Amino acid sequence: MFWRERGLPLLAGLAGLALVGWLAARDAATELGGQELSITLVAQTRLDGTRREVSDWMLSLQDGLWRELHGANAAELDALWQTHPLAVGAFRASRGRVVFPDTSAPGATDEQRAFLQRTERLWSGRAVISSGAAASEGGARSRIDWIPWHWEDGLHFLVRIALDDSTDVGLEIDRTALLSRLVGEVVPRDLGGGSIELVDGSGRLLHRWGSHVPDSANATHPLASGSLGAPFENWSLRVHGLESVWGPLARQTSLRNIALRWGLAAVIWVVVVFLVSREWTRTLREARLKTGFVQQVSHELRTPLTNIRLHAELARDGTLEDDTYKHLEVVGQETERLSRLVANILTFARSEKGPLKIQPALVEVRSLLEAALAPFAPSANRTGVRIETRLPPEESHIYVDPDAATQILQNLVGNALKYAWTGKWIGITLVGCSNRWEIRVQDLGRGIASSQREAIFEPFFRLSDRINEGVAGTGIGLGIARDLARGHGGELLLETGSTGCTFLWILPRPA
Amino acid sequence: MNRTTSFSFALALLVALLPGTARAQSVRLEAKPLQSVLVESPRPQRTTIQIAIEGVAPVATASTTQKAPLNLSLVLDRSGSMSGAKIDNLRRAALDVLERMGPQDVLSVVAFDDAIDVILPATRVTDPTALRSRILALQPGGMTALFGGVSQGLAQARKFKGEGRSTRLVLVSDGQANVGPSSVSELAALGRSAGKEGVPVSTVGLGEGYNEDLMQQLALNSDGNHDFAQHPADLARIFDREFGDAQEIVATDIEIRFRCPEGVRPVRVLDREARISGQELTVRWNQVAGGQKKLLLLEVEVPAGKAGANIALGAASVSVKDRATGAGSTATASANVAFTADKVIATASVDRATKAAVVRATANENLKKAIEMRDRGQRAEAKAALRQNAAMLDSAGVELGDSKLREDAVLSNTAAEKVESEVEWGSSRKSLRSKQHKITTQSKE
Repeated sequence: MFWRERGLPLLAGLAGLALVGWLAARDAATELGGQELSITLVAQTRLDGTRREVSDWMLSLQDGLWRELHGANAAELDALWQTHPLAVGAFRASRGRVVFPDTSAPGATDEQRAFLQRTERLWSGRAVISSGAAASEGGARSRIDWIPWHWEDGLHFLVRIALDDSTDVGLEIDRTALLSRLVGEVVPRDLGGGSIELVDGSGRLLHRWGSHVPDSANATHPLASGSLGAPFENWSLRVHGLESVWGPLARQTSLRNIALRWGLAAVIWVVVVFLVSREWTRTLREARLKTGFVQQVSHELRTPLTNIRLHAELARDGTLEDDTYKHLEVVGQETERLSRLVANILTFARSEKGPLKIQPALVEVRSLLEAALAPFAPSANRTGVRIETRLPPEESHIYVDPDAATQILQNLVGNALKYAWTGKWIGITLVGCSNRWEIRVQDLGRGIASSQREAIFEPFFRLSDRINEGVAGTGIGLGIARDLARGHGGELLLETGSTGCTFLWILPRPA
Repeated sequence: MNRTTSFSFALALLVALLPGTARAQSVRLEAKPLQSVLVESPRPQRTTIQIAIEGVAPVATASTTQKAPLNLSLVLDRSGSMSGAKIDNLRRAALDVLERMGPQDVLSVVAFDDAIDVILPATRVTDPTALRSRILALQPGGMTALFGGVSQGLAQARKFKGEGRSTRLVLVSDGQANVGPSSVSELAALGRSAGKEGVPVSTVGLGEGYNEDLMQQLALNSDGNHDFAQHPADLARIFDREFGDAQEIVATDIEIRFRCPEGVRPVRVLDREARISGQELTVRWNQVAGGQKKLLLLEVEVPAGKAGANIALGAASVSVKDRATGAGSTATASANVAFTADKVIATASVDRATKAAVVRATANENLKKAIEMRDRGQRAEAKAALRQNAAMLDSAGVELGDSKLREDAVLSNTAAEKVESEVEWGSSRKSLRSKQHKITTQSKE
């Protein structure tokens, strides 16, 4: 029973919560994964942006070099070598032969000899000197070549311009000076708290844009990295630190959103499960109570019927006049009980369909009470219960439906006799107030626990404690009584008291 | 031949005949032998020629000022080690500089640690109070990205170069460069490039922790000054001098050529790198201040000569750009030498100032060698070399009556004392480097 009533909803609730938890975890994982992806994407964008800035910068540098170099004769090349901030060498080659610098000339310097020595490999390989095929006429930029090569202390650069079919001029560009210009003039935008590092082929840090310094563990694991592009192929860019700056923030925000979203889902789920389970429990209980009701009604019907049959037979077979009278009296009482029961069932059935019809009229209280209580006299005598009525002399009439009033009073007094006969006293009082009458039915029985004060009015409800042990009942009496009381525009309440029960019937008094 | 050209021709002839000196618009050029009379010899002999330029300050009038408008880029180390008195003094020195600047001047400030921040992009100093707060906000922390800092400073200086401004970058650092290129050769290359661009990089080493070779090479190759500021309080004085120097600049893009006639062989230039191509010597300087004298000492081999003979040693020419107007101008001067049989006459012909310059340059070369010896661990040899150098300086000082040479002798002797000490050598080496740099570049103390 407990399993069906509580366990099932509990299980459903927990299963649902587990599902919500799982979905939330999956959502979070996807979100964080996406964020990591988006950080990588942003890092990649920064990288591409910086590469583009470097490439733009290179193009403008090349334009300058082009202007300075093209058409330069040996003397001008020599002057460029001496005065150009980036130059540490210069050459002119004609028909596949280096004509400047010329170390056989009397004015040759050590510097020129050193230049030819470190570039020797390039000339012998003929990689530097254009083989006669003129470079395309696509403008200055397309006719400038960068030739990186390694010599002793590292990377060296040569820029070359093909002047015509047979002549090349060029400069050797100082790596350090070029780097200095690059890092001074290229300022990557939108670093967003991160940093971009420029690293040479051996992994040495050449420069860092931005203020973020990656810790040693992250230094070799950038968010994005890639070559700087020609002619710095073996230099690379690394993007660091975006995540450490706005990563946690974004992560926090999205985790909060996920928690909120799924928290709300969990709350809704719990509420739904609660409501459904309450409805489910009620349906279950009603079904159970109805079954009980049928049993009770059968039992209730059988008891008076058995008595009627028994006493009718005794009367038929009996000899004494007195005995016959007694037997008939019992038959009469039991018949009363039966009709009360039937009346209750009918009223209940009616109340299930719709509001009860109440037809109030001005009724004389004393006779109403006497008629209503008369059927209980034998049973009260048998159990030794004294039924006491106290009516104020000024209140002779009340405005009530007499049948309904009888039913209410008989239900209340009948309950008191059934469940509280041990108190040996039942009191019925009427108090008239300005706008209402208060009718109380009081007993001195065991009383009703406060937690059950409302439940007793529910149909088919029967207290499952010692009060109704071995006592038959349908469980609809109090509910009907309240419905009837409310049908009058009044109320039926269970008053709290020290001993026993007091049912208060509030009956409105017409103005 | 029209009148103008014939006039020019006559002028040129006159200039050529003047004994050894000539003037371009803003510099004076002078070429003279160590001794004008040599003892006759059947074999070739060596002598030295002094080729000097001196900046000529324009005459100030009521309406013009002779001070050059500045384009100053301060590149300041704010690595962790700069905290305390160093950064305080640095801020104060920078503020002093700012105070003296006017709306005609341009200032940029770059601060570096791990990261490089352009604290103040190159700006005309029209609102000094607004710039003050930026300098005051300088806070130390982090490592030393010296290369990147200087590169950024150069980029700032480039923006306002020319326009009659005297451009200069002042680097202050107390540490070893440890982010980016940081070898002496790389910083020398950086300096060379800056020098070719016309931005002298003056370097100030602060305290005992910086790499003086690196800082000195950066300065030397860009024609800047190099100073050892042992105490943070020295910064104010150094900044003041840098500021004044920069304001006094009268000419830039100086190119000196000295061409020897056939038979006279140029051998080398004392105490500095120079390019000798065949018979011609070429030297470039970035700038010269009014009243500043810069000289070259060229050792030449003179052919055999008989008494009474008179030969030309060569002709010097200088081309400069006037700082204020940007106009180019040239001047020429020549040097001759005669032969005699009389040793007394020959000795008497020795130019004392040139002799002192030769001694100083030679001593400076010795000093450089002594530092190298000490670096290789040859302490005893280094000590002996310094002592010998001191003796040479002292005797020359006495002979020539040159007190400065004698002061240098004392310095050399003091250094000799410190060669053995591990503790004292560090600081001594720094002041020797700074001294040696000043002699090489003939900059003010």
